Amino acid sequence: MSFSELKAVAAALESSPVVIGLLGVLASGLLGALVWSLSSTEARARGLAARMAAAARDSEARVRAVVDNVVDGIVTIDEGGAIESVNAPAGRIFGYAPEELVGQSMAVLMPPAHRPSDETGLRRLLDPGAGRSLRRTCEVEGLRKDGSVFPLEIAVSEMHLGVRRFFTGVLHDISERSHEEWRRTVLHAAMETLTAGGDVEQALPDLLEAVAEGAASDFASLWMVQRESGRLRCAAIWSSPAIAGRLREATRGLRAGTCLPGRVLTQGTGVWTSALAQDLEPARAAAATVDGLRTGAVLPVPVGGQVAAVIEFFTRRPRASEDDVVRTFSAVASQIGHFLERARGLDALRASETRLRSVVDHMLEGLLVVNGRCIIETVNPAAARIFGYGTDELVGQHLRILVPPDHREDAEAFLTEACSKALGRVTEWKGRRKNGEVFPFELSLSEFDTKEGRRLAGHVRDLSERHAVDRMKNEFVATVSHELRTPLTSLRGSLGLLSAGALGPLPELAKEAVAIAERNALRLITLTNDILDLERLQTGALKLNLSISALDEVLERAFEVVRGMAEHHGVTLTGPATEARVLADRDRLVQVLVNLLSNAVKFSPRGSTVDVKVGRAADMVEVAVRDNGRGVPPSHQRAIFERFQQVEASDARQKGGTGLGLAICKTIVEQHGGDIGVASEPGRGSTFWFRVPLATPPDAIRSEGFAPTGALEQRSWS
Amino acid sequence: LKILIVDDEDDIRRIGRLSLAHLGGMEVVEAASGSEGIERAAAEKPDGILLDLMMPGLDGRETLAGLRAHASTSDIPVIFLTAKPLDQEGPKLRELSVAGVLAKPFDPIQLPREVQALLEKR
Repeated sequence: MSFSELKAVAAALESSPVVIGLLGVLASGLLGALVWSLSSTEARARGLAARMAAAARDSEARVRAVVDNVVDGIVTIDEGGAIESVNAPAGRIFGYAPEELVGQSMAVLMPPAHRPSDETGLRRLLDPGAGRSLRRTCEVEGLRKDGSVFPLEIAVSEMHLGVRRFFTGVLHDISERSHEEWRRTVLHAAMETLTAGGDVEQALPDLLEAVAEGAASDFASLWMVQRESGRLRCAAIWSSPAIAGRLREATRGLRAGTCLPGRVLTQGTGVWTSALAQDLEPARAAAATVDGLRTGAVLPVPVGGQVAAVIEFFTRRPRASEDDVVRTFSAVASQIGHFLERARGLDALRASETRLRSVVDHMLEGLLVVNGRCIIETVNPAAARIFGYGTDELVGQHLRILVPPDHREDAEAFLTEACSKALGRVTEWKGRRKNGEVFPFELSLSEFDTKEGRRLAGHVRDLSERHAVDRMKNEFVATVSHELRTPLTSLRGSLGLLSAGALGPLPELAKEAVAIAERNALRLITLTNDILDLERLQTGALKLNLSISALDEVLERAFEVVRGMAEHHGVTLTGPATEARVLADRDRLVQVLVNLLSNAVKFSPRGSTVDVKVGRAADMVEVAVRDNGRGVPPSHQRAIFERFQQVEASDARQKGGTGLGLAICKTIVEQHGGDIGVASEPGRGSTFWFRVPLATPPDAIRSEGFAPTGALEQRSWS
Repeated sequence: LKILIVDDEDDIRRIGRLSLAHLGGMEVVEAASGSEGIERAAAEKPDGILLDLMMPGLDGRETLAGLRAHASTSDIPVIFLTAKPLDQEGPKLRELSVAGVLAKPFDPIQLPREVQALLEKR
């Protein structure tokens, strides 16, 4: 081979894209290697200049080492298809020692299916005809010495050395790469399905198609393990156009327990068969044979350590059960497992999200979420409705647009104030609707942290309607009580004059009737007064007139009011002298005490005593009224402080109460910042107590801490 | 003592009359409205006027203003009668420099004594 011939080889090689890179790496060393490979026999070395032969020999060892260490295999074939040279990587790729291949037909490296039947066919393969270039890169299947078929990429170059024509193939085993590609295809399909949203079940056929095509299968099916029964159910079937419908039918009709996927589920490990027809269930074996399916892989799909599905791939090509192939299939199965796991998680998340969203959307209460910069991030329809906007109009807006004009300049300050007041509490605020209307609303805030930082959730309720109703109710109560008072004035006046004898003497029976009428007229008046009082106390219409008051004076005034009644009932009143001063509305406190005392008198047996004690607990004064009545059963001890709640339904009639007295007492005491309650044992009397703030703790009183009711007697003043 | 009772409710005027005249031995004249009250006051020159607060037409306050506007009636002491809660209305009404405020329903036995006391206090 002359130098010019060598240059021709180099040119031919250089024009092959795969070889370009190779040449770049190997530079002149590779040229030497080719020289070696092409002139490895003495006969072919003939004609070379002695200088060139010597140079080639000198570099042989070095070059050989380089070539043998290239990942790609290099094979040279003569015009007749006989292998002339093989480098070490090429030998490794096909599982031969290089010298085993030299001289053999290239057909030994081809799977029988692609192998030309005779030498003519082989020649035709190498020389496809005038005008068609053989220089190309393509993917073909190779046959290893052990009989396994594998994908390989080959770049073939045609070369001319003098009159001789031969071919060089640069080979690359891409079985790893195609597995990797398959894995990537599956991953991609899974990702697409996951991000597309929707139901997992509906996504399964698409996923199966991607997986099956990636595996170059002809038929595939996916079986899901049902959560309730633990049995398999065929979730998706895919087949290439070449496969008849019979196998699909047969697969769909399989009995889950006894079929091949069922066996895989039971044993927990995959099955690889290259004799598919023998291993399949009878129902499918025939169809598979007709379709020419030969190899099958049936694999468990693990999710969280358990088999969640079984997937099967059938192909018409014979495929040996090689470790890397099985590994790839298993990797893909576990990829599907991950997909199922995530998809199920997503499904559950979506379902719970949907549930939550629908709760939030259908709440009557408004919900607003704002970030630390007062930007509204979430609004439910109720909140948008309250403020007169559409939800879309509010998201992304500054909170300022919901705040009345006088707060608008400083919405952050508004938020800070709102936080300090409304966090975890229900408070009342003024808001601004889209149409500019300012309206009252109830706000309670809760705080939570997100990845994006702190968020505030505001629960909003429109109060304008409730306020209107309150106003109406108050007006109604005021009107009714006023309208009742007018006729009651005439009634009470007439009866009072009659019973007092101011209009002349009455017969005895008439006197009795008039007395009954008068007593009940008075009861009606008290009831009217109590209703109005309670209403005004509870709506805040009645403001307390607080002052520092001597408790002694309050006690005295209350005693004065009740004394007549006590005498009438034959009950003795006793009370202490006290120096305590309270911060209270004197008239209201008298009202409370009169109420408790008159109750005590009413329910005390004739000849008994009603005893008042005063004690101290921290900065509060406790006043306790003890009677010897029938007592209050524990079940009623809370309820009796509510409106129209009495121990006996007949009490109002028999004892002349209105059922509102204790509710009024409770409201008054609570408005003082105090507390009210009862301690009682049925049959052994009751102690009604209340506590109100002490004005200035008198030095004269030594505090012994809080005296629990019942033990109060020992701790009383006086 | 001559007392003018101004109230739109006939029955209340009658009870007032029974109480003040029968029990209290006072002379009682009546008016069924604010405007009639102003006329009767000018004509009768009573020693005191019991004036209902809520009336159709001229209400108690307007009637009081009418009385004060006439030289002949401006000095007659007025006692308001109200069906509204005293703690709510009382302080505001007393600011109008009236002789007193009495709550409905009143006690007919006590009424003459209370009226007399309020008028004497003045």
